[in-house]
Amino acid sequence: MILVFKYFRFFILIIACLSIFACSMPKIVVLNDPLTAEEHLQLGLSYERKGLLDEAIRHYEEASKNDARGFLLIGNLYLNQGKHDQAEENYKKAIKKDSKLADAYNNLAWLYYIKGERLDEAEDLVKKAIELEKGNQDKLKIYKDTLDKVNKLKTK
Amino acid sequence: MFKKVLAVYLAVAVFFIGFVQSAGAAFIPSEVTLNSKVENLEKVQKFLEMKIVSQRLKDFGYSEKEIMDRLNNLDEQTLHSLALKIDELKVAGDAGLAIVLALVIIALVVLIINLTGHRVVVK
Repeated sequence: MILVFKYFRFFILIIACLSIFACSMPKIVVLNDPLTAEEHLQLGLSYERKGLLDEAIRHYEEASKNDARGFLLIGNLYLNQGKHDQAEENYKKAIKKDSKLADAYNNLAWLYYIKGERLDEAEDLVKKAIELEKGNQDKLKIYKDTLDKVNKLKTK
Repeated sequence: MFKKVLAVYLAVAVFFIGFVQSAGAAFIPSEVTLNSKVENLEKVQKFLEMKIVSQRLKDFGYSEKEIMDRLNNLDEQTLHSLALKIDELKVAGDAGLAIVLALVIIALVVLIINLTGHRVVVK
């Protein structure tokens, strides 16, 4: 009986210690990404239009892990800010991640047109965009506009 | 004199309007890439911010009812601020040898979980 009482006290002591320890124990929380890549892009765009550029980039970057358009939208953001080098870098990343992302080819070509440099490359890029979006008349119109402008600048 | 001024004004205006249109015409804006309408962005933002906050509360162990109660009490601005800052929220643990030991174990668990592609914080 004394033995049982001794162990019972020991048991209670362990429970008490564990309770105290458990209260002070850090908890592990696994954070699941609540948004899909598409949703990150939409939220990023909303933030960008409100001038929250850091937050917009954060969401575009999150999206870019699975969707090349994340890089494309970062490129567009930088282009709108006049940060041509960062824009170029991100357009190239977009093309590298998704070689069929026609808008990235067009916008990179457009960037070269604005800078007035690498016009041969710009022409090739926009031709690639036209090839990729043969069936999309709305986009084709814009791509062809880019091509016209690049060609005109080349002949100057 | 007035006619001359008007003619010059119109010439300059037409030149600049034409220039602005042509400068923007060959660039594909992000809205076009995403097929988004500017007027819907506000609604989409609110919905997605609610989704972020809701998921984080779920991650921290809140029940569906508690989450709904909290979200219903948030105004739009608070929701927005919370969504922007939610990943920075951390609660510190106690000091002590046991905690250090526990943290070492947790670090290992975190490393393993991170390797499976999830993100982990310690609260």
